[in-house]
Amino acid sequence: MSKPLLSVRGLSMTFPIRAGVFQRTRGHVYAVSDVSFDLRRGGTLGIVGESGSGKSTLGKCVIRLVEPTAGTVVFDGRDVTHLREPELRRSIRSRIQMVFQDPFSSLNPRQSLQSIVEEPLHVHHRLERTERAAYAADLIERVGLDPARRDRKPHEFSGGQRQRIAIARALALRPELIIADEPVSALDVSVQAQIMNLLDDLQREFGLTYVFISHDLSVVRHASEDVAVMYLGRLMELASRDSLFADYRHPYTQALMSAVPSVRRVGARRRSRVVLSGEMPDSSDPPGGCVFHTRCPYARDRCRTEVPAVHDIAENHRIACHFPIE
Amino acid sequence: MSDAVPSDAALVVEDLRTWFLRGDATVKAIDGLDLRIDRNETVALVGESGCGKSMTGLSIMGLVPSGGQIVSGRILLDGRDLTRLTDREMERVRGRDVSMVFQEPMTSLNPLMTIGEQIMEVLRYHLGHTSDQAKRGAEQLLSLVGFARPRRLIGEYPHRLSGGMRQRVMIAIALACEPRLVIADEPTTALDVTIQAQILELLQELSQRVRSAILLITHDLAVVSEVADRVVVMYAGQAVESAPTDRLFDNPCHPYTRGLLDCIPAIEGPVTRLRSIAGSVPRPDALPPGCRFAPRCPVAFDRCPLAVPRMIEVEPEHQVRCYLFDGEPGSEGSPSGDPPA
Ligand SMILES: Nc1ncnc2c1ncn2[C@@H]1O[C@H](COP(=O)(O)OP(=O)(O)OP(=O)(O)O)[C@@H](O)[C@H]1O
Ligand SMILES: Nc1ncnc2c1ncn2[C@@H]1O[C@H](COP(=O)(O)OP(=O)(O)OP(=O)(O)O)[C@@H](O)[C@H]1O
Ligand code: SF4
Ligand code: SF4
Ligand SMILES: [Mg+2]
Ligand SMILES: [Mg+2]
Repeated sequence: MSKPLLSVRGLSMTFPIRAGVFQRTRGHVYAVSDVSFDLRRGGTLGIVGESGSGKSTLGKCVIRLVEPTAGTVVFDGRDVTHLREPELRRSIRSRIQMVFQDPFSSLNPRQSLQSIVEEPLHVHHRLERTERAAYAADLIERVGLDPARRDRKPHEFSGGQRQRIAIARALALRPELIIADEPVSALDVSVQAQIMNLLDDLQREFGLTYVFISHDLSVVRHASEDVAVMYLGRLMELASRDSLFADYRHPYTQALMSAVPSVRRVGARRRSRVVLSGEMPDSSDPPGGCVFHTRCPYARDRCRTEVPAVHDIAENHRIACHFPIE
Repeated sequence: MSDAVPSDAALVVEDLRTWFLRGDATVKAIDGLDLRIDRNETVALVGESGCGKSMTGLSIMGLVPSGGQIVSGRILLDGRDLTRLTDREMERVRGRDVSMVFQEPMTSLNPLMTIGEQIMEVLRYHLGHTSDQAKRGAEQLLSLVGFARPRRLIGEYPHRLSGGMRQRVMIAIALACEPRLVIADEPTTALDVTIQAQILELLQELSQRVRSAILLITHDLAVVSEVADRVVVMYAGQAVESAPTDRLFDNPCHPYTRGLLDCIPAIEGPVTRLRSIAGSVPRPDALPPGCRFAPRCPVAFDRCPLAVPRMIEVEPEHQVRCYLFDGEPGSEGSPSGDPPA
């Protein structure tokens, strides 16, 4: 394999919980613990997991909105884990962009479509006004919006159109890596399909690399080349899409799969339905041993004491479990 | 419409119109909706955002937001027309005969009252329970919805619970009086898939036990396929297709239903480019003439924009509102279409 565009090793992010007048630290949230993966240029890594499993925090560490507490993030051969401004802006901000779930709260309600899309250009490039306008109009058209509406404000657009605006803005600096954090979760299936097709087209056209975060397995399956399953901040299973969906080995992946309602649950493998009991434990007090042991139907004594290491179980298929499903 | 209500119907909605009359425009949020739910039946109401699903629930509950009103139609709960009740009468019906579970339980739970107080209040008001009875009732209900230590939960405030726990509390409250009908408006949309599966199973199991009918409002067709007996697809304020769940997925007839199903990425099988429906739901203050789906319909023909198609029975229990299936003489409904004389 050629050199990956993004290489993450042993990444952890721990937030202090502060309370009281003196804001003393009362504990820690283990949002991401010891996550490693590689992502090739032009590829898409999907990340799935329940709410609170650390997906967004992982994304924010990569784009360096937060500084990880341990591990390394290597982007295009360069260790960016602890970069500071102005170096951070110069080497990361224009090359990695993030698209969020709720396009409304991430768009300034007083700005027009055009100025939202143009804004990043002010910061990073010294283009003439007319050049900027032409460039923005191009982008607006490319994401399927009508450039004639460039003076409109975000509230005059539908949810799907707002997500297109957010994508146009993310594309403005011609980034190489886009972290799409639940980009279609708030949308109707019809609009979701439009946005997913758009992301697909843009990837091909601009050679983009994606980290695609979603809690929806069907959506991730559709979008990704490789898929990582997270639980309580940890990587449970990581494999190529086809191995993960056809031949998952981790009990948590099995539980997630069987919880997915599906309109076309046909095909060879009739899934035994495992409805997980209980809820995800608090990430400020994760269970010892395997973090999944409190809900795992296959847990044994060893699971309660020993953290399973992530190990290769087949080519391009890694898993953190003492007793993988056969 | 005939006055005879089939005796096994828990709810019959006939030609309902809920409009918002504004100075400059009329917002037709519901515009000619027919719906029927039998006893013990789970009916799913599906459709894109803005097509009127929540407004249907609110209309049945007598909770149409201010500015809006039911301008015509009937809502028969056990044969009794709810649209004719006074506000006071409706207050007695709400929570006792029909109740509603919302997407975000935090907005419908009172943050200042304990879980126990909120359940007990319902039992005292509707069933005339004494404090002791209500307390025991609340404990029973909480254990019914799966809490291992109901006594401890009774003194908790809502913000101390997770989203899934709150939703179970809401279900306990909704079922407290064993209503004829429970309306669940996107009850699992804000929850994780594993919790979603728990809640849906719970809702079904309990409604069987207390023999309530369920109207499940959702935009998620996959959820529907697992829990509903029957599906009603809604578009622009009207029902456009209604069928038993299996029939709907095996033999979707309305072009809108087919479009919705095509959009869903599959969890199995080959990964192909997704199909999507062009355009978006029309605004309810500017509905297109004729078939409301015509501007987006890939197989629209010249008859479509002329008048709203009626509901046609394509097979027993399966109705569709589309000219492709309207074998009325003179239309012979081929997709490419003979022009109407
Ligand atoms: N700035 C922060 N300070 C303290 N805790 C945080 C912070 N950001 C996230 N967390 C906690 O870290 C954990 C992981 O959160 P994160 O948002 O990454 O999860 P997620 O998988 O993206 O969930 P969701 O699906 O709900 O978006 C959660 O327990 C969250 O409460
Ligand atoms: N208070 C109001 N005044 C005017 N129009 C309203 C009001 N509330 C809702 N509407 C309109 O009525 C239509 C139906 O809304 P409704 O909330 O029933 O949609 P929905 O199908 O539940 O959508 P969603 O999936 O987004 O919840 C929408 O077009 C909406 O804009
Ligand atoms: S290590 Fe044990 S508890 Fe964890 S997933 Fe594997 S079997 Fe279950
Ligand atoms: S009536 Fe015409 S426009 Fe409407 S759904 Fe049928 S074919 Fe399409
Ligand atoms: Mg997140
Ligand atoms: Mg709604």
